[in-house]
This record gives sequence, structure tokens and C-alpha cells, in this order.
Amino acid sequence: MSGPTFFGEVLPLNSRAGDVDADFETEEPANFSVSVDPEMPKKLDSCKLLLLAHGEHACCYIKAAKMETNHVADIVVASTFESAGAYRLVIESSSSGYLLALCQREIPSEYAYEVIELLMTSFTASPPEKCLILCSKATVLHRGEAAKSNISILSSTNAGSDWSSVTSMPYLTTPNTIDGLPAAALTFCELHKMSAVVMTSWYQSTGHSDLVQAARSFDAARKLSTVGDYLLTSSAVSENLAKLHPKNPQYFA
Amino acid sequence: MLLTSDDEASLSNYAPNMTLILPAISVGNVGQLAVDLLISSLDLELIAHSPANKLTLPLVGPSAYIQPGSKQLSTAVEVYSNKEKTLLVVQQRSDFISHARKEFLDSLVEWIVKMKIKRVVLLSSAFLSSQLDSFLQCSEVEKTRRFLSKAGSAAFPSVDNFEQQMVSSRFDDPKSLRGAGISTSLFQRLDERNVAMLALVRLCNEGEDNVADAVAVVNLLNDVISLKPVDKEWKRPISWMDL
Repeated sequence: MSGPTFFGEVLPLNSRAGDVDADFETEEPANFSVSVDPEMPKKLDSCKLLLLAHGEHACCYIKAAKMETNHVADIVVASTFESAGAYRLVIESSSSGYLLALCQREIPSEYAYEVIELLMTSFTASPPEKCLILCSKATVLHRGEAAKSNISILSSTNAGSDWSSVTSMPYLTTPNTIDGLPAAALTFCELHKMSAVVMTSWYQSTGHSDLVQAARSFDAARKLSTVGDYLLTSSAVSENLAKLHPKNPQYFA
Repeated sequence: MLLTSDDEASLSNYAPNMTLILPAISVGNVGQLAVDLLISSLDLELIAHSPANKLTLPLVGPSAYIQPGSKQLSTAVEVYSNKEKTLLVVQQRSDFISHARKEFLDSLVEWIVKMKIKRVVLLSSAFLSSQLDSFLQCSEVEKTRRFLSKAGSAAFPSVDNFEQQMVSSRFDDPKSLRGAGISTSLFQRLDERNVAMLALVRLCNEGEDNVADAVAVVNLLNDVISLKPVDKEWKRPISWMDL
């Protein structure tokens, strides 16, 4: 309706809590479907480490740090409306029992758990022994006391002694939370009593995110248990980061 | 549904004497704030992260109730209990996945009936601004509407001024409870299944002091089922530091 009407309009009332006037009696259709492409990928006999990289910073780091891997499949979140683009989680594996999942573009939260269920069950004969999830957030979103470090971790109850050095890393402080795919992954691991750690890199939000510096923060992950066994050396990683982003020479020592 | 079969088995002997308290995702987060006060003040322990987590938007963080240094996780749906196992308290931190709402409601109702829970308390809220004028002018106590299911009178003998019919949110119905989330659907379903249920629905608006609304709700609940001494203050959880 356009133009002045001088009459009140009945508008829906909004709430920060969520959709507080939602219909619980009618089943709503899902707007996206989640599938594996190709449908029956070859499974690893066992998986010593599942590494999930979420967002551009984590994916940038992993592309610079990973050893040789083979593409296995994609998990595809596709809209039922054909015009909308699909979201993809790229799955790679190595012969040493390491599974890698790269999620560059944020998957709709409503489908995150479904994606994680497929990730945990479709590519290995048995659940991964350990899961490491890398993600990032702008420091302006850090709540409570200021972040003391540019990384923080959160772990599942069963993470304990599986991860050496985890106790020396800053723990995420209340009331900060993690959502989306990383949260779905940690929740799945907690519910299934699996060993998992989420590492968050806090980056300065300057309008153009400091992609390489934020990516480099993730190198602290090599201190966690045997994660370093699956990554190139720190100097090789720096060299690769430079090749990936030649526009940022001032960040390379 | 709220618990795995192993956790259910450990509670099955206690369930017929248990009071289940859960929040509705509703205006001002009042139900969730009220449950935070209960968990923080009543020395409840976490017994499970619920399988229902897969039906809500994912959310994790450090514990909302334990001081820094603890490695206990918070997830979107958690279940707490007291040592005597007379209370089962659910906290839900995030909204439902839109295409899983009906599944959650159906599963929750079937679970409550299957476990033979003695009585259910729902803590909720609704938009004050869409109520009848009589509610706009009511006292602070009357701003928390009380709904008792048909089977609820015997289970909650000290509740007065209660209503027995909840009307779902409709623009044209002056008795509707807009902003109350799952409240009406859950109440109607449990009423049909003869489950003893009390719903406390606080009339309020977003942006006002919803912590005070939550305190009003738990104070009224305490009058009904005596959770703590009246003169003991409700303890705010550490996750409220920014409020």
C-alpha cells in the first residue's frame, strides 16, 4: 500500500525471541534439500581426525596448510526454488585417515545439523576419533570481558586427555556462544560422546577483514594433539598464504 | 525425545512424582529467563544435552551457570534435575527449525504421556499490547495469566483465578495470546490427553525490563509449588552479566 492513508495498519509484532506467533499445527515444508554428491562415496575404513573449516578465514588457512588430499564428494544444500544457488561442503580425504570438510559459504542454520549428520556418517565406516572445527568471528561480536587472545576454544565433554595443550589455550568465556555449522558439529559430538574441539579466530573488523592474519591465527591448532601431523610446516604455510594473497605483502615476515 | 533411552531408564522410577518445567520461546524471552533463574537458584544439575537439539537452531557455549574454569558446555536444549528427582527442568536457548516445529510438538506430547510425568508447568509470555483493555489496566499479579488443564486442578490445588481455555493467536480474536509461541498448541494437546498442566503466561512487551517479568513468573510459581523459601533471593546466572 503506498501513499498516506491516515488509517492504522495491523502489523505483525516482532520479538527478539524468534517467531513467537508460529504455527505448530501445520507441517511446514523444508525449503532446501540436503544430499551427498555423488550419492555413495568411497568410505575411509577409519578416520583419525575430521577437520571442518568453516568460513573464509578457516578455509584460507586449510588450503594453505593441508597436505595432499583427494576430493571425495560434496554435501549439497540445494534450494527447492531452482533459481537460488546451492551451498556446498567440500569433502576431501587422505590415505593417512584424515578427513577434511571445507565450508566457504555459510549454510542456512536450519540445515546445519542435517549436514553434520551426513558428514559424520557418510564418509567413514566408523565415527571419526577426533573432530577439530575451525571458525572465525569479528572481535566486535565478543561479549563480556575483552578477548585476551585472538583465538579461543570450546570442547566437548569427552575431549579431555585426547587433546594435548588444550588446557593451555584460552577457553571461550560466558556469555559468548557459537552458532551455525560449527555449533551443530560440536552439539553432534557432545550428544554422541565424541571428542571435539572448536577453535575460533577473533579478527578485527576493519571493513576489509584481515584475511591472512586471521587465517594465520589458526596455526595454533597444530599444538593440539596430533593435528600438526596432518599439516605442512608453519614456514610452508606462510609461503602458501603469501601465494594465495599477494595483495597483502606487509603481513609476511 | 527430550532424553535418550538410557537417560529415560534412569528416571523412569521417578517420573510419576516429577514436575516438568519448561519454557516457551515467547515475547521478551520471559520463559527462558525464568528457567535460567530456576536452574541457577535451585542447585539443579545438568543430566543431559537433549536429542531435541537437532530440532532447534544450533547453539553452543560455555556453561551459563558455572563459574569460568568449568569445561561444561551449554547447548540449545538441556535437561536439568534436582538431587531428589522431583523436578525436571528444560532450558531451550534457540528457536525451532521452522520445518521441525510440528515434529517437536508431537514428539514432546508423546514423550510426556509415555513417561507418565506427574505434572507439567509451562513458563511463557504474550504481547501485552494486543490484550483486552481489562488486562492493560490490571495489577502486576494479574499480568501473569494462569491456565490450568482439566486434569490440573488436583495437581495444582493452590492456583486461583485460572482459565481453562487458551486461544491461539489470531488477529481478530480479542482473547488470543499473541507472542506465546508453542503455549496454546501444547496446552490444548496435553489437555486433550488429560495431563495435569499449568501454564503461566506473563503479559509484557519487548524492550521493557523482561528480567522483572521473569522474576514475577518464578515468584508466582514458587507460591504454587514451593521451590525455595520466600525470603531467599533468586540467583542471577553468570550468563546475565550483559543484561
